[in-house]
Amino acid sequence: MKRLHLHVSVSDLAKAIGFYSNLFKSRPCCTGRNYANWRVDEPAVNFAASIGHGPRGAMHFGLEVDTPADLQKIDRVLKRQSGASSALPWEVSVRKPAIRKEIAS
Amino acid sequence: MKRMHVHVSVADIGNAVGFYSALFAAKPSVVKDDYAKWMLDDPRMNFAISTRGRQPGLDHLGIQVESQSELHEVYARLKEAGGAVIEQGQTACCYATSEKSWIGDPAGISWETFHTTGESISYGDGSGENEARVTHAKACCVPEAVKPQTACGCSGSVS
Repeated sequence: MKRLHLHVSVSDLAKAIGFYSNLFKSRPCCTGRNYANWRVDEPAVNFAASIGHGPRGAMHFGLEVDTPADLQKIDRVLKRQSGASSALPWEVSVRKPAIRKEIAS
Repeated sequence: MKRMHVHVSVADIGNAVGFYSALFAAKPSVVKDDYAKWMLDDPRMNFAISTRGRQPGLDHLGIQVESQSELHEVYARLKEAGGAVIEQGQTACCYATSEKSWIGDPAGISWETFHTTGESISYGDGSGENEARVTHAKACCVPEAVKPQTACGCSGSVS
């Protein structure tokens, strides 16, 4: 199953962790000095917040897929979209194991 | 089941429908001159685009629910999250009738929580949404010295 990915830039990570943990009713699976990541099943989303990567707001969107073959399939389809464009940067990535950990930073 | 909602402002509906239909490998369930919506199961989300926004880019995020009990559960989360919650109530917007509330997040992004109950023949004039956002801005975008408990992420003077 594919999953929506959202990455937003915030100015206060502690405040952001408090807010989004309440909103998703879920603690982040990974946190670091500049970064936190929630993997939520309902609503299904891989949500990341970080500081120090540009002005506050949405940084990019993405689709998380299960296998490299899924990624290549989407890549082939998008390459046929000549002339079409997105108002936002999108990334397509292969799902990584959901491990609850602290990221060294 | 709750579902993520994303609403993106675009300059050209036709161009954007082509891009997102390819990205999601699905045709939109609603297409109008100024609006299109994908109700997807893989990935599970309600993704909408419109030309009603001020400039191309993310307009807002949201959590869509399927029942009144889920709506009240998420409303409780908003209250826990802190900040100004704007209860808009019943409204017609985006070719649908819904009950919804709004909150601003620490990234300055508006989130709506909503339960859609039917379709609407028009987009809606957006007055309800605009009123909610203006009220939200007035409630949260004040100097912290005046309103120290704010948790809103509005652009401006707050953090």
